[in-house]
Amino acid sequence: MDRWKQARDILIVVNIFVLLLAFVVSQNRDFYINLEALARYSDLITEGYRRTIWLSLVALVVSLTFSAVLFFMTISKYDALNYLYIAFTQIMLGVPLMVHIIVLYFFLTSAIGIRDPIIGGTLILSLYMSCYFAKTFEGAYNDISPQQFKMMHILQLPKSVCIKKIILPQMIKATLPTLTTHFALLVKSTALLSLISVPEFTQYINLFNSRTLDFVTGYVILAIGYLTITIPLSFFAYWLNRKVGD
Amino acid sequence: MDIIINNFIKSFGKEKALNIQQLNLENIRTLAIVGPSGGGKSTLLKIIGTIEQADSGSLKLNNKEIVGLSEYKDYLKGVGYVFQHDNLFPNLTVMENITIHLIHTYKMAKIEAYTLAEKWLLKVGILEHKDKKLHQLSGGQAQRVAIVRALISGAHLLLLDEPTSALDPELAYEVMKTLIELKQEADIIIVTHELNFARKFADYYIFIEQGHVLSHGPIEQLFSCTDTRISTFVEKITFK
Repeated sequence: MDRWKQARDILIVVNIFVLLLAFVVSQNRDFYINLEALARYSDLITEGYRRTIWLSLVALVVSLTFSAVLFFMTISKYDALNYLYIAFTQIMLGVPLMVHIIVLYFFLTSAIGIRDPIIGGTLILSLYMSCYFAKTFEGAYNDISPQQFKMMHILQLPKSVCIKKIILPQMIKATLPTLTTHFALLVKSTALLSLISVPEFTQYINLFNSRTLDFVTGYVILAIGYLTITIPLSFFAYWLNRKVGD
Repeated sequence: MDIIINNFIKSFGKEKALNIQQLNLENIRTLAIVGPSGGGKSTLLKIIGTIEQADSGSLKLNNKEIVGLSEYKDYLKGVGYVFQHDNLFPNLTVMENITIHLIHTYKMAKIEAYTLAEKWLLKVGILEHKDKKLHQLSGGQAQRVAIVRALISGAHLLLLDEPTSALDPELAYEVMKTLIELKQEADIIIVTHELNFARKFADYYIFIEQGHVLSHGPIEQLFSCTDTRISTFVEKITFK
């Protein structure tokens, strides 16, 4: 019975969106999808989509690595590392990513000899996202009760055992759903890398737009493309949330 | 156990949490630390358990100096500790919680550790819960698991920091019963507000208020003490 109710609710929501879309389309005479152009440039669009997925996966790995370093800075007994973490995350999260991409790419990454926009852009995006990941790790770590740390001391457990058997499993359980949501944010954020000509989905759609001059089709495909990645991720996060909550 | 304390001071900021000039206790089996909240009882227990460090003075437990102790490993191998709550690691099962230190600190073979754990769980009547995690246990069961873990490694000293205060009376009774059954396993120091339980359980008491030891003696003396401050406290706690 519950499943029927759920299916009915989903159907209602889908209908609302279809109606809303139909209303918007009916009110805009210029709205139409150029299927012929889509067919002609399907390779270009697929290539952009594929590149965004790759870029996102690489940025995910790099940002998780950075975030692990940042996280260890927060729990370090050295105050200097704690302050460095605070300063870094404040600066990174206090400025829009778009500004970081432009400023850091044209000044900082160039200063350290990175000329390739793909490497520079991925690095900047990873640094930015690593702050979100590190904050999530920090929250999960702080949620472990102080009593547990005292107990690890009393039981004289080796540090590696504490991390592997007690701290990490609790942190992973607490952070997985949020990390999945952050990953969806990371995927969307790759679009901003088109500002420095990183070849990814948005950049390829810009190319499609300039060749066909059919902006509406281009941007609708762009929206659908990102949704095909972010919606499954949202469902995955929802499923994980329920799974780890059990 | 023998406890000898001299010029012992522990401060938190400018506040002296403990200031004990002299205390000599000899041949005690079960010691109850009692007194009003915030008086320094738990702090004293934490110092004995090396969770907190004293500022100065001397505290000798069975001739072992605790103040300024830098190498805990051997000392802590003989000590078990049970907090008020949050004793167990929530991601581990009861069995894993009980054997984690046997395997990783005492380097016992897993099969040997599990066999020993099963014996202990059977002894305290919770063997059927061995594969459960913390959220599947009642508060009383969790505390009994914590007591087993504290004793299983052969600890000769068990430190109990208000082990029943977070439990409702029925569950607290389960834990107290277990403690009485296991009393002979080790010397015990318990911080508690359950004076009726302390009367049955302990053989000696120290009364701490505002960081000072106001009185100490065999447990029965606590209930016939003429000091107004102590007798008022006992009356309030036991509803006399």
